[in-house]
Amino acid sequence: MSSIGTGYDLSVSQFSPDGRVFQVEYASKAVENSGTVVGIVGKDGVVFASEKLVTTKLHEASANRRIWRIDANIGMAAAGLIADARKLVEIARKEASSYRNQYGVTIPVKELVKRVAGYMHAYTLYSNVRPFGINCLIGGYDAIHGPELYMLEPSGVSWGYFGCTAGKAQQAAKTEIEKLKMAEMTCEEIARRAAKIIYGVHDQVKDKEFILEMGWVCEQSGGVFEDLPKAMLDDAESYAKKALEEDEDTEMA
Amino acid sequence: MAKRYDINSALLRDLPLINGSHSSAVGQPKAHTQSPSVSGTAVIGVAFKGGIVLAADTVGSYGTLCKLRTIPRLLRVNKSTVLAMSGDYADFQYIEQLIAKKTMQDFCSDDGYEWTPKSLHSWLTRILYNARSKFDPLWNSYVVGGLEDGVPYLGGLTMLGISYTAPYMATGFGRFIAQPFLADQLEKNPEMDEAAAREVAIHSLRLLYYRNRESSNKYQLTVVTKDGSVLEPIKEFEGVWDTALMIRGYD
Amino acid sequence: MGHFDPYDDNGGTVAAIAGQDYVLIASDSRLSTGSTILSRFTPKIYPLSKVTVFACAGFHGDVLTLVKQLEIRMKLYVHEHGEEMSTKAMMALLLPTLYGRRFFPYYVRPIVAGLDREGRGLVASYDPIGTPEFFDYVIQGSAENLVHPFLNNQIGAKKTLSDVPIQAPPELTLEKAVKLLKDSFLAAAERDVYTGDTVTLMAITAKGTETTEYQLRRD
Repeated sequence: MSSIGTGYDLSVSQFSPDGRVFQVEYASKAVENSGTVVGIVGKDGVVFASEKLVTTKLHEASANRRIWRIDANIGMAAAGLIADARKLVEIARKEASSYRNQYGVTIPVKELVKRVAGYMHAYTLYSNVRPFGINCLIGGYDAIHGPELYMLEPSGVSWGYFGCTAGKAQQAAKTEIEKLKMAEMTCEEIARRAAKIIYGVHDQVKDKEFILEMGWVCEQSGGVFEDLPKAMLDDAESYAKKALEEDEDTEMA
Repeated sequence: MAKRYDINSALLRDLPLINGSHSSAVGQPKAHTQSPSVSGTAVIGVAFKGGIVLAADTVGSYGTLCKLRTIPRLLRVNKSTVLAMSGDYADFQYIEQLIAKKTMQDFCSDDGYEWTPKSLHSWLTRILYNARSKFDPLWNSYVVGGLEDGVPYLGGLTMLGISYTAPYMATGFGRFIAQPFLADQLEKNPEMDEAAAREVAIHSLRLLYYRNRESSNKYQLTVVTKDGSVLEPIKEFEGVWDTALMIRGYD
Repeated sequence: MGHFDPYDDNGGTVAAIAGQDYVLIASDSRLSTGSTILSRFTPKIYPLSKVTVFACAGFHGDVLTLVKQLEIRMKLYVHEHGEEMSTKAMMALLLPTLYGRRFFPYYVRPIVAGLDREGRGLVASYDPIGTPEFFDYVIQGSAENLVHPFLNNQIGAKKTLSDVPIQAPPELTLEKAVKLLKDSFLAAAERDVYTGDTVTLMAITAKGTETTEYQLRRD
C-alpha cells in the first residue's frame, strides 16, 4: 500500500511529480504505530478511549496520558508521537485561553479546531520543520451546539465525525464503531462499548500490557471534560472483559 | 429551550467566569492611575473556630455618587479560598480574569493542585507590589480568606503590596469603624463559633452603614469551613434610625 | 487627585543585641498606615537560616519583597554550596541588594542578626540604600530615637561605627539582654504611637532558637 517517494520525500516543502507530499504521508505512518484511540459522539456528549500501551512495569499507571483537558468543556485525545501531541495540547490550551480573554466565553469547538489545524498545517509548509506525527481528536459539548467531535491529521486537514479512530487498530476499531447506534445511546452506555472496542482490538501477542484510559464530556459530567469517574471506568472495563469472553464463547460454540 | 450561550452558562460549574476583555490602548502614553473610578468601600474578615467569614456591602460608588447598588465584592475562588475587594472595581475585574486564567490552567493540568488562601495571598501580593513599582498600581485592598491545611487563614493586602495576616481585619473605612469592634468581640469571645462570627461581621457592616457614606444596607457574606466555601445570596438588613430624631442642630 | 506615592511607612521597631554566645532579636507586632492600625499581629522578624535572622521595619511592601529576595538567594546558595550562607555572608549580601535599588530605594530599616561560624553573636544595621553598621546592639524603626539613647547608657557606646562585627562584653548575659530589650520595648510602646501590641523576642544560641512574646501597650 505504501509507495516509495525516493527523491521527493526529503522535505515537506517538496511535491512529488504526482502531486503528493510524502513527508505528510510518512507522518501518518507514525500515527499508525501508536496505541489505538477512539472518539464517539453519543446522545448528549463525547467519549474518548485510548489504549495506553505500557512498555515497562516501572511506569506509574498515571504516566504518559493520552487524553487531556483543553478547556472546561473541551478535551483532546491523540495517537502518534506523544511529544508532538503535548505541544499541540499546549497550543490548544493557549488558543482557548486567549479566546476567553478576548470574547469572554468558551471557545467554540469548531473555532478551536480551525486554529489547531491551522497550526498543524503551518508545519507542512517549511523545510526547516517537520509535520506533527499525530492524529488528534478534539471533542466538546455545550448546550447550544450539542456534542462535537473532530479529528485532525498531520496534513492539517480536519473532519467532523460521529465516531473516529486513530492508531494501530484504527481499521478494526472503525468497523466496530460503525455497528453502534451512537445517536441513541447515552455516554455511559457508549463508555462501556468504547472500553469493549479497545479491549477487543488490543493485540495481546504483539503488545502485551495496556492501560485503558477514558475521558468524557456530557450532561452527566455537568458539561465538564474530565477523566471518566473511577466507578464508571471500572464498570466499563469489567463489562468489556465479560462481553469479550462471551463473544469468544459464542465463537467457540 | 436552547440556553443562552453566554458567560453565565451553568455548564461551567465551579469555574470562575470571565466578565470581559482586557486590552490596552495602542499608541498612547501610559496613563498613571491617579484615583479609582467605580470603587467599593470597606470589607470585613473574621476568623472563627473552624473557618472564616468575609462580609462586604454591594455598593459601587462613583466618587460621592452611589452609582451601583448591587455589585458583588466577594469572589469565591475555590472550596477553600475566598477573596473580598475594596477599591477600584475595574482593577478587581482584571484580577478576577487573572485568577480565572490561572484556575483554568490548573484545571487543565488536572494534577490536584489548586489555589489555597496562602498561595493566592502571596501571588496577589506580588502582582500588586510589581504594579506599584511601575507607578501604575491596581487600586485595591484585598482580604483573602479560607482554610490553609485546615487552619483558618485571613490575609490582608493593600495596593502597595503590604500584606499581613491577623485573626480579624477590615479595609478602608472599616479600619476606623469596624476593627475596634471586631478586636473587642474577639477578645471577649476568643473561641467564636460560626454563628457568632457572622453576627459580628454583619454588625460591623451595620456600624459602617450608619457612619460611612459609601456603605449601604445590602450586603453579602461568604463563609469557609471544612465543608467548603459558600458565597451567600445578597441580603438586606433594616437600618434603625430612631436615634436620628435625637439629633438637633442640623436644621 | 493627588500624585500617587509608591511608599508608605508602616511603623514598628526592631532591635538586636550580639552577645558572646548568643544573639537576641526583638520586634513589636504592630503594622500601621497613616494614623490607623492594619494589624496587631505582624512581628517583623524573618528567619533566613538556622542561625541568621532578618528583622526589618519601614514600608512593609518593600520589607516583604526584600525578605523574598534574600530567601531566594539563601536557597540558591544552599543548592550550589551544600550548606547555608553564613551570617557574615548574608550581612555582606545586604549591601548590593539594597544598593541595586539606589534609584528607587527599598524604604526599609533592616537588621541582620545571627551567630557566626564560631557561635558568637553578630548584628548589623543598614540604611535604606545599604550602608552597613556593625555594632554590638542595633535598633531600627519608629522608636529608634527613643530606645537608642537608653541602650547607649545601659550597654555603652565606646566603639562607635565599627566596620568589624563585635560583641557586647561578657557581663551582658542573655538574661540581662532579654530584660534590657523587653524594657526598651515597654518604654517605646509608651511614647511611640507606632510601636506596641506585643514584642517578640527571639534568642539564638548554640542550642537553637527560643522565641517568647510579651504584651505591650495597645494604644
